[in-house]
Amino acid sequence: MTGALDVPVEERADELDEAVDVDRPWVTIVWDDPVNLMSYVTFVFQDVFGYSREKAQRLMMNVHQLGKAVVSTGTREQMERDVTLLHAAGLWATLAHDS
Amino acid sequence: MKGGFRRTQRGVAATFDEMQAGVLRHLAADIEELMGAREVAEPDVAPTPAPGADPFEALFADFSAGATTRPDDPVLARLLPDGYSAPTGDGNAKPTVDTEAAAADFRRFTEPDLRAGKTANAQTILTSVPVGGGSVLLDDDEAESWLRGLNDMRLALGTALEVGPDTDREFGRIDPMSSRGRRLHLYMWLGVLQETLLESITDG
Repeated sequence: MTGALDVPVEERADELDEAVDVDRPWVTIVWDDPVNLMSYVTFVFQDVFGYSREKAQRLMMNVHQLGKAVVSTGTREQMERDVTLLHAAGLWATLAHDS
Repeated sequence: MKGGFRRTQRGVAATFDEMQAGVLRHLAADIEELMGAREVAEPDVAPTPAPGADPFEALFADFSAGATTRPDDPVLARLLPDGYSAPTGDGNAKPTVDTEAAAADFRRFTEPDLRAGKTANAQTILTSVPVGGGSVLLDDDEAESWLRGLNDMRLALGTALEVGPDTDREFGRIDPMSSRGRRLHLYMWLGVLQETLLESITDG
């Protein structure tokens, strides 16, 4: 018979890592690109995410000035969906695990 | 080459002369061909199951018919980019997935639809531009297809021309009759066209 208290130390340490991972969401990143028009990128953020014009514009400027920006956060499945939608609109987007 | 799109009471409209119409049709056909060529060139697509093979395996093959590797051609690679990148941050975080394997899986499941969407947008442009030039009148769905289709043309041409931060300055100096000059002018014109289309859509 095995109780929770009998779990070896290493395995409990692994569980702790898992718990920490909950705070590490997946992110969708849009990368700067010399072709896409700034107005178009803003429009796509509003269109795909339903963001306000102000928020979409701020994210676009972050992409433009910093080279990339996190545009959405969530589960891996949600981020795969977001990247798919952004690729369809021609934006250079990837998903990654936040750290 | 001023002009471009404008909003009218019946939809979004533009008029193209014979040369402009020819260029748009040519580029749309190029995109269509690029997206189709990718399908033919990839040997992994829809393998024919051996006789007597598990029928469920064949069924699964249909669902995973997409390519798994990033295209070598820079234009195709830009139109069909990888979906995964390395973890963000300082790089000390333990990666939870193999980025390359995840990108391959993501591509297998999403690239066929991505190509189909880009092909459909190019076809919308091809069907709406009269061969010898003339007027184009678009409803909301067609305007959205055009917006994305024009963007794909600019991505393809811009990648081929290797445009960058200095392109605007180069554009001011380049001989407009040189081969690169003509292509840069075309690229800039597509930008004006897309910008006026976007303004017409958001004004609506």
